[in-house]
Amino acid sequence: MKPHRPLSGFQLFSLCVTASMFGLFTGHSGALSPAYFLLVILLFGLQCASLALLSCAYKRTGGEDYNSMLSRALSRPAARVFLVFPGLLFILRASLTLSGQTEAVSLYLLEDTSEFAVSLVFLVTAFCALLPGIRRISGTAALFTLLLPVALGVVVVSGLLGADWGELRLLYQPAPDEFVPALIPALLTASGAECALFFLSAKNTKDHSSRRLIIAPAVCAAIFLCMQLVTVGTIGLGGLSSEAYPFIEASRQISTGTGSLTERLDFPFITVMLTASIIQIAIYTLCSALALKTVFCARRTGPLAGTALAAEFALSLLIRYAGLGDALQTVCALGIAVYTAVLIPLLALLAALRHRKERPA
Amino acid sequence: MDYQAVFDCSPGNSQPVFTGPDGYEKNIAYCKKLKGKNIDVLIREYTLSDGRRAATVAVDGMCSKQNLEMSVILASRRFAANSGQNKFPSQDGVEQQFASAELSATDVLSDGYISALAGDVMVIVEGEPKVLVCGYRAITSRSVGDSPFGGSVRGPHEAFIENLRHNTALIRRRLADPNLVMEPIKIGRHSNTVTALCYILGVTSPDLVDEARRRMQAVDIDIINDSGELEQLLEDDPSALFPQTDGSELPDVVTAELCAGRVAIIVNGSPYVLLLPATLSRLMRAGEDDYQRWSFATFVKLLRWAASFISVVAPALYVAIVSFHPGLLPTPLLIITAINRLNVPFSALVEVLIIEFALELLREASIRMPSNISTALSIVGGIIIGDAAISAGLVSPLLIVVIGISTMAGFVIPSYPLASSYRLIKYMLLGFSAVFGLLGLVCGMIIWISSMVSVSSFGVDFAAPFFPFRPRAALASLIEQPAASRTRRPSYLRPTNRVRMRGGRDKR
Repeated sequence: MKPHRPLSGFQLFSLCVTASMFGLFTGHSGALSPAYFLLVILLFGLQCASLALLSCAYKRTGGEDYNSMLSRALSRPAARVFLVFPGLLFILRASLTLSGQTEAVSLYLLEDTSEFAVSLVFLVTAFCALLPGIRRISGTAALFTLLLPVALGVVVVSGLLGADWGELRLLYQPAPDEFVPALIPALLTASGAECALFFLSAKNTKDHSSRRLIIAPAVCAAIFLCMQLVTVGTIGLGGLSSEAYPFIEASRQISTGTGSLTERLDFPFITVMLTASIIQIAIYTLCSALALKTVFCARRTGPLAGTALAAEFALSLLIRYAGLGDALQTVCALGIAVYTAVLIPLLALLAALRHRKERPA
Repeated sequence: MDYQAVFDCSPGNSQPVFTGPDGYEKNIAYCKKLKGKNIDVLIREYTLSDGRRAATVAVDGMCSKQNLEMSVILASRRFAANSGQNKFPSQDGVEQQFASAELSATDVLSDGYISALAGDVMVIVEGEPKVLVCGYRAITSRSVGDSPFGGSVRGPHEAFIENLRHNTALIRRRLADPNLVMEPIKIGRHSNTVTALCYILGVTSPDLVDEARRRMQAVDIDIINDSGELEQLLEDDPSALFPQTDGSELPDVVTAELCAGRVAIIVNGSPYVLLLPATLSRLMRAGEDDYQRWSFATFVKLLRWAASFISVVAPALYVAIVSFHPGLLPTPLLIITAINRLNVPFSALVEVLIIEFALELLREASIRMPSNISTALSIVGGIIIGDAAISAGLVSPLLIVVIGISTMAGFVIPSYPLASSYRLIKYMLLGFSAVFGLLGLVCGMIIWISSMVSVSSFGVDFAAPFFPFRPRAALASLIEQPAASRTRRPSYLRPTNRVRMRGGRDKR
């Protein structure tokens, strides 16, 4: 009796939600503005649309399932070379998260602990989470997705009760010059849906899960909107942008009648954020390993994932000590833009052309 | 005595029954050779009324001598009645002469001898090509009583005992179904322990049954004393922290799980029946969940899940917060903690380890002690030493509260193997949080969940139905459904027939 090897729809959905939503917690504090929020929502919408387009294009071809076609498309020699780019991009993305979280933890949680040690703990845990592959990490992501609504529900309900709606209306009026500076952090926040392609192409998924992939960014957009409404409504944009852990600061402002909520919710919030960061690193590393595995026609993902983690560690040190953070954020944002706006529509177009060629005259 | 003479009775080296003119003598000689100097093996020869010779081979203390003697006398008289016809009765005829409910014939002499060692009586009749094995077992065993692990408030109290036959009878009494199969499999080169693989045809997944049978038949070991040994030999991943087989000593739980599509393995000599496959949701279920009203059963279930989490995390969280992040505590609690720890000379980790070590000692000591002494030991250890430790300033009272709650929460977990695994994980988390505070705790929890998710039991995911997620079954694992709504068997067990109850609520 063999276990079900393919991922269930919910597991895939959890992976996408986890990869996408965790952009929220890694903090792009310098660029939080009304334009940023609007851009994130817009990008989530764009991801939904491009994934829907891709799904429709492949379904119209008939005959073969979504996975195998995508897998074949990505395993062609030309596509294989092309996959070097996303492979490196995911490593960069994980490095940014690692560097940001190491800084935040060293600053707020473990002042006396070496940053080296903190980075290593993140990487070792991420490696443990991804070691047996997509299946294990998806289980953790699924648990997180199940627990997330509870935590979010508490915050959103409490926050909405205490929010200043007048201030909210005032704050959500973006100025035209805010959009360009907000684009890079917004792109980074909305990243994650592109991971879906790699999980699909790894032949580890059930073919009926494409609908969930489309729903995942939409769910992320809804949650993001709620969270931002609450956060901005309770502490204002100024307070939000000055803190590395904005949601903890938001919770500090929420009154529960007998005292401030901060003294009760710090632990769950920090737990959620740390879990989120580790799983995000694990997911990006796994995606990177899958991409590089296809490039090098390797059989095993583990060694590649280990190498990717080592590279992430080195890069995070570079980001911290050589000040490469801004440059790498720009590179990552551009990569994600290429993915959302170019690669997915291109794949959809190829599928549509193939469909036309195969259809009898 | 020849110490090199080892009798190999494995299937490849079995000894057939000797036939021919001197077959009887050879059979007796073979049995006497196997008997050697053993005082407990009885070989008794008779002369039947028809003039033929016969012998019985039995083990003193394991068979009913009264039944044996009566049976031989009756058989002898019947043979005498047949002898007037001047022909020996056929093999079937011989079998019919013996008054035994459980009787079989075998042409392998060594098998018959092994059966005699297990408590049966082997009968050798001159001129017969087969030997008879009569079920006259009368092994002294304790009577059916309450479960030592604590039964249920509402529900049957009787528990399995060490006798396989009694245990199969306890199951059969509840499941008078011809589809219930109790397949015998012998394990153990020396012990020849009889085990029974139980399943219900038309319900249990055939793949699961085949896999269980394959693994049981593949076990080549000298002795199996308890189902705990067999359990470890059947596991998918012996290095995993989590139990991969479930079990119960309650017949009602076993029958309910058989009907759900699981496989049960009964081992002779063990009161603990194994259930396959094991899942986290099953291990968190108590037998009486089905007998209580759904609302209260749900409350208790949720309490158990919360307790299992607290039992693992609470001590590590205490260490992380007190050592690294006291700022996370509410101000009044922070002040209380600071005052309590003012005179404690140890770090939070050492403080926790002292109390945990004392508790582990207490737990082990109370298991080894007679029950009347263990109560006194609990009072001395738990109250007197605990109070003295606080008075001496070795530990803080807050810690005693945290550890006390964590320990009590551990006892709420219905499965002892799962609770034992959680005890180990608790120490792992303690170590992580002592070095990296909350970050270490979170990392430990991720490793805990990741390892739990990757375990499978006989091809079924240990964390099912949460991972892979099956909404209906997952909800049923957390929230007890009303009896009329429990119409389907769990899908993750892949039963042949998923319908548990026809009609359900709508039919009433």
